[in-house]
Order: sequence, then structure tokens, then C-alpha cells
Amino acid sequence: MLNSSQMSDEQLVEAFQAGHVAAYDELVSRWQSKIRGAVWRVLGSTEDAADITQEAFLRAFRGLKAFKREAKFSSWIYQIALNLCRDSLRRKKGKSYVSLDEPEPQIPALESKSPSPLARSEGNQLAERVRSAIQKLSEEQREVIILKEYEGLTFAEIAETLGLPTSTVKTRLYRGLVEMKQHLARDGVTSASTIHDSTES
Amino acid sequence: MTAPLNCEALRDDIIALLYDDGELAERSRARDHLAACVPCRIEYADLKGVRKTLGGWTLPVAAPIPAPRTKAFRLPQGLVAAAGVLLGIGLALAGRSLVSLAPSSSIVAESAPSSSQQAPLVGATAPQFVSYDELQNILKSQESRYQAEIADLRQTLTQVAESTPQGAGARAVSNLSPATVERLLKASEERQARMFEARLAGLRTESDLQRQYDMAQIAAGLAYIDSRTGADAARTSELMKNLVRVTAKPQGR
Repeated sequence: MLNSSQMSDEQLVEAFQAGHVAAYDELVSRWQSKIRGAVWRVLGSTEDAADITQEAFLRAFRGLKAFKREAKFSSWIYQIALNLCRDSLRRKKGKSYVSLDEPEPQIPALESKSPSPLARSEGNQLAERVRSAIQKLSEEQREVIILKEYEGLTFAEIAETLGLPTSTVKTRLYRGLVEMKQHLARDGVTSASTIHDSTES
Repeated sequence: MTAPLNCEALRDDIIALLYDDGELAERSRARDHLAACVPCRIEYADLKGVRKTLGGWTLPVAAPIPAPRTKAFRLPQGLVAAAGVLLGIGLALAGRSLVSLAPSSSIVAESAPSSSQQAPLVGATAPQFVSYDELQNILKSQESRYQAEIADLRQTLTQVAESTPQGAGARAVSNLSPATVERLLKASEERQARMFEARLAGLRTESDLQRQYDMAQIAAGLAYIDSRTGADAARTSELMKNLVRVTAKPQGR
């Protein structure tokens, strides 16, 4: 018999639906950090990211029995988390939930690679500007960019997660990137690549 | 005038090429177009630059939850260093306690010069480290001093008995025969030896307790560090486990 860590998401979902409730634990272990990272990027708050991630997994737990295995579990859990993010942003609208002027809360540095203080400071500044520019995007563009850039989902997976055609995903991505370029330029961040004649070989 | 329309139509393909995702035909079309269209090539390069810049926004360290506890758990370097320092301090303390007990190296003894003798006496005030051999020498010198004192007492007793056979003081002393005095002295010596042993045992126990306390403190420190990093991960996992446990019960019936 397979160890739960060796099972695919689909197998774990199947096991859960067959009554092996413990299979869910493995799904949580497998996905919680990714979901939490995505939520953090959407909301910009570490605490809320933890709460929403927890809530997302609770909802998934409640709904997993009825989950149709046509979609991937990962897409489904991202979908739940993003819906919760949208609700949260809507609830907090007008309360300057994500203050664009406030610097990102710093968590004590425990990075495995420890850059020099100057590099760290410069890195923090860049990160802050990118974060700020992303927050200025529309919700739709932000979600697509986060899922693609930071979560590494494929177009098809993003489309499944957001319930959109892949062409819409690509369009949102394109528009989001163009807007990002403008926001970053306004913020004094020049694009890292300036090679205009580069094409993929 | 068809070029702009063509560019617009190929936008999805260019995005597919930019992310190296989607169908091969899309990317191929985009490549062909970029080779011929300078504005699109410029825009493509700009978008690549934006992507590179986006990479600068990394998650705060605590945001990505580390591997669950069931799998191999790696402490970040900083924590390892902190734990190492704690462990080092603890070991140093424990080691100091242990070293003090090691018979081959050194032991803790309390010594101070006797009022009448130059040789240090065991059982006085200021504690200091002396080697095991040194202690043996101290005990030997103490032993020989006692022997000398016994011999002196014997001599004194004999002299008193000989000079004043009917004196009151002599009578009091004469009640104690040399054998009795010797027995009393022996008993006193034994008592002192027992006290010394008891003191040593006490020191051992004290050191053991100190070591245990130090180790407990280190463990607590490590647990604290561990909890700081693992707390976030544990939080969700724990909740899920509880949920799983609660849900599992009715199914078992």
C-alpha cells in the first residue's frame, strides 16, 4: 500500500472520499505553504494570510466529500483561497487594508542566504516597490500575475482556478504586465532587462 | 496597416512565449512575429524586464511555511547558530560540573590553611579547584598530622601520669587510658572521613542537579526557537489534525 506522501493529490482526494479522513492531512501539508504565500501576496498581510489559509482548508475539508475530481485539488484550493481573499478585501475596502505607503511588515531575518545589509536594504526597497505596484493592479490582473509569476501555475491551471478561458488569462496577464511596467517606471524602477532585440532562440 | 492588427492578434502567443507555456505552435508564431516586428520585440524585452523585476518580491521568511514536522525539518542557519550557542553554553556549564567530579582531572575541594599547620585542611571555606593528586596529598598530610598529634598526646599522657600520679587534673586524665584515647581519636578520624565522603556525595548530587537544570534550560530554549519557526506551520496542521480526528470518530462507529 502506498504511503500518503507518495500518493498524488487525486489519490489522496479519492482516499478521503472513500472514508480515509487522514488523507486530508497530507493534502494540507502539501499545499498550505503555497496557498499561504499566494494569499499573502494578494492581501499583503501575514496574519490575514494565516487566517485565510486556515479558513480555506477548513472550507475545502467541508466540501471535499462533494468535490468532483474533474478539477485538480490544487486549482480548487487556490480558488477557495482567492474567493476568501476577495471577500476579505471587499470587507475591508475603505479601511486602507493594504496601505501602499506603509512598508511591508518585516519578519526577523532567518534567511538561509544572508545578503549584506546594503543588499538587503536594496532588496527590501525593490520588493516594496514591486509589492506596491502589484497592489495598484486590478484584482483580476493581480490574481493572474500572482498565480503565474509566484505560484508557477500553467495557463490551463490558472484558467481552471479562476474559471476563465485561457485566452482571458493571457490577456489579463499581458495587461497586468504592461501596467506593472508603468507603475514601476513611475516609481523609479527600471526594467531589469533592456535588451530589445532578444527573442527566444 | 495590417501590422498593428496582427500584433494585437499575436499578443496571446507572445505571452505564451514569454512564459514558455501553452502550445508549441503559439510560441513558434510569436517567435516569427518578433523576428519581423521591432515594436513587439521592444515590448517583449520590456515585459521580460518586468518579469525579472517581479522576481525581486520575495516572500517574507516566515510566510512560506516550512516543511511539515513529519518530514525532515531544517532549521534556518540563524536558528542553528543560536541553538549552537545555547547548546555550547549549556555544555560548558554541564562540562564544568562534570569536570569537577572527574577523579583523573580535578575535583572541587574547600581548603584553607590551618591555624597551626601550613598544610591545608579539608572542610574550610573558600572553594577552589584542586587536582585529584593534590587532594590525595592533602589527605595524606592530614593523616600524618593526626598521627603526629596522636603521638604527642600519648607522650603527654605518659608524662602526666608519671609526674603527678595523685593530682586532681591527672586523675581526670588518668581515667582515660591510652587505649581509650586512641579509640576516641580513631572514632574522630572516622567521623571526619565520613563527613568528607558525605560532602563529596553532596557535591556530586549538586553538580548532577545543576547539569540537569542546564540541560532543561537548553531544551526549553531550543523548544522556544522551534516553536517560533514551526508555530505557523503547526497552527494549520494542528487544526486540521483535530478536525480530522473529530470527523474520524463517527465513521468508526
